[in-house]
Amino acid sequence: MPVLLVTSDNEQFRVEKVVAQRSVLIKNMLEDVGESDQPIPLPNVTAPVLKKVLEYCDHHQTDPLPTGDEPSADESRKRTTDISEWDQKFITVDQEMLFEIILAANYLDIKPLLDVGCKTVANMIKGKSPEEIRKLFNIVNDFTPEEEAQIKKENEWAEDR
Amino acid sequence: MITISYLPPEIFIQILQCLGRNSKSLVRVTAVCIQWRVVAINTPYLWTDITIHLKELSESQFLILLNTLDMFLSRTGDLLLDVHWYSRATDKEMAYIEPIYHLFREKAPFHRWKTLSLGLPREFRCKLSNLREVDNFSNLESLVLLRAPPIAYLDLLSSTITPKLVSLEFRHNVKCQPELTTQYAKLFAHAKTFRSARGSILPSIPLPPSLTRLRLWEMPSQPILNVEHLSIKEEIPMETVVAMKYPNLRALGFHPIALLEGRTMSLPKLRWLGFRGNSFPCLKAINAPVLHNLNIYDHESTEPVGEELVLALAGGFTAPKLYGLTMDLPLERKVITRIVKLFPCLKNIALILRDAIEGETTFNDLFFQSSEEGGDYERPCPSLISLYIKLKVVPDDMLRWKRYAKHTARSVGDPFRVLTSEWPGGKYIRVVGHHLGPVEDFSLSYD
Repeated sequence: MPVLLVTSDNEQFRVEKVVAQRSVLIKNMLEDVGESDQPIPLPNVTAPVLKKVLEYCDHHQTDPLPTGDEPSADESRKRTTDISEWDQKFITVDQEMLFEIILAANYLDIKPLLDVGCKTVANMIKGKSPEEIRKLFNIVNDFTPEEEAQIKKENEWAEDR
Repeated sequence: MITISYLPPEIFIQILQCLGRNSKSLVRVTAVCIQWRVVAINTPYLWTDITIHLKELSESQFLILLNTLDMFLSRTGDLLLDVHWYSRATDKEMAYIEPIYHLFREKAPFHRWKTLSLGLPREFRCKLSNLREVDNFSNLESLVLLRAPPIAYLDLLSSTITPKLVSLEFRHNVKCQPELTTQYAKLFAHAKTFRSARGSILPSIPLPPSLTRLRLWEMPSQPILNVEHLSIKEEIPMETVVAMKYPNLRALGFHPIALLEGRTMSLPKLRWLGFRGNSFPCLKAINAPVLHNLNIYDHESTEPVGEELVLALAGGFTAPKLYGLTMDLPLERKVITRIVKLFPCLKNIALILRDAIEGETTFNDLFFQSSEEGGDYERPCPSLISLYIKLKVVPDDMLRWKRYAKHTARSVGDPFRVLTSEWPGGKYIRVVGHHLGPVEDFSLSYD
């Protein structure tokens, strides 16, 4: 049975239940209201972002759902760059869309998508100097020159490892 | 415009975790801006992976290291730590060890060490007895020895109670000192998992009954009754294997040789068998009534295998409930068809193949054999649900390979669900038959 989702900009998306239920938020809502054709409002997600999120859910509709047995932190670390080919293509978007997808995945509770988003941002940070990171994300350096010198000294050995 | 600063702290922390605890990238993040710095240094978990590698350090470099270590430890709150400690054996490096111990004692006492990977030189002779405390190492869960530990260290470790130390590992060439059996016995007291690598000499102590998982290079000289998971790397004569009495064994990985005719090895609880090497007749001696998964690996073999393997599996090997088969060895043409016919319950097959040509032949053999009566195709493995094919080389004609895989997945029909193909740097998955329910329903129901 299809489910009707309504975005913050009032656009409607009719999707298969199995696709919509990749979102734990929507799954719980559907379980709470039972069989109903009432539209589900998603006030924190815009139409372009939901379209993208649903593309992900559709592709991964048959993946096993996360069981709650989270991998250890070390395992997660090892998998930092381990993003599948399809997911990599999917997440190759501009920065604004990337952060929108991450926020939507967090709101809709789609953990695998949130992981893909976080790993992508981490991969963008890896191997870059603080200055390069600032430039990439348009961040203002708000340290005083003294603080910056102190931090540079503090991080000296860690840099040389 | 949404920027990275819009992300809530819990998501930002997740991103930082992906950088790796105590990594260079994480350290650099602390120098980007005040907001990033505050989040990073106030998240203790990010700093709990402590690596100390002492090599070729001048005194000034050592002082910087000590300060950095101090800084890292002060960010860890009261969380448990993973400590990796290596040092070379020169006098200078060894002189650096004791000050580090004292720093730990002050900032992160031994009861906060959760895992320890230790590679200190045996020549280290400092007395560490002054560091002994009642609750030393009381939270240590895992100990990895990269070398035989210095006596002072072993004394320190074994002098306290380590009730949580359940995992021990001896890496390559760790030779336990025979005169220190008492100390080693204390370390092993609560062990559940033990691994050792090539060249390691184990302590001559009775291994404790608590051990349930063993991954060893050689066969242990003593029976371990409760072991449930056993993996032996080196070749073992079948006689030794048959003689061992492991009634609780659920998983066995080994490389048997020299079959004893007429002898059978009964493994009543075995669910998983990993068979390495090419002594296929040894398979004939295995009776595993509830075996679910059989994995046959022979990476070194270049000659295709045929009759010998089929005869071994058909002529004595008993596994009526086998539902998973993995094979990584070159097979003669049509052998796969004959093998799968021996196991009517097979639901999952994974094959590691040379190239796409072998892949196409395999699809053909598994799914598109003309039946003897004519008419429809015959499927030698009608209950197959998933097929995983890994190619060792990238297909010459990628499009053709993907097209053929897609065509195969579409053509097979119920209950077939998932076809996965991987090759270096690529992956293709085709899921069919959504009407049969979520994929996890079948993958979870055969454990």
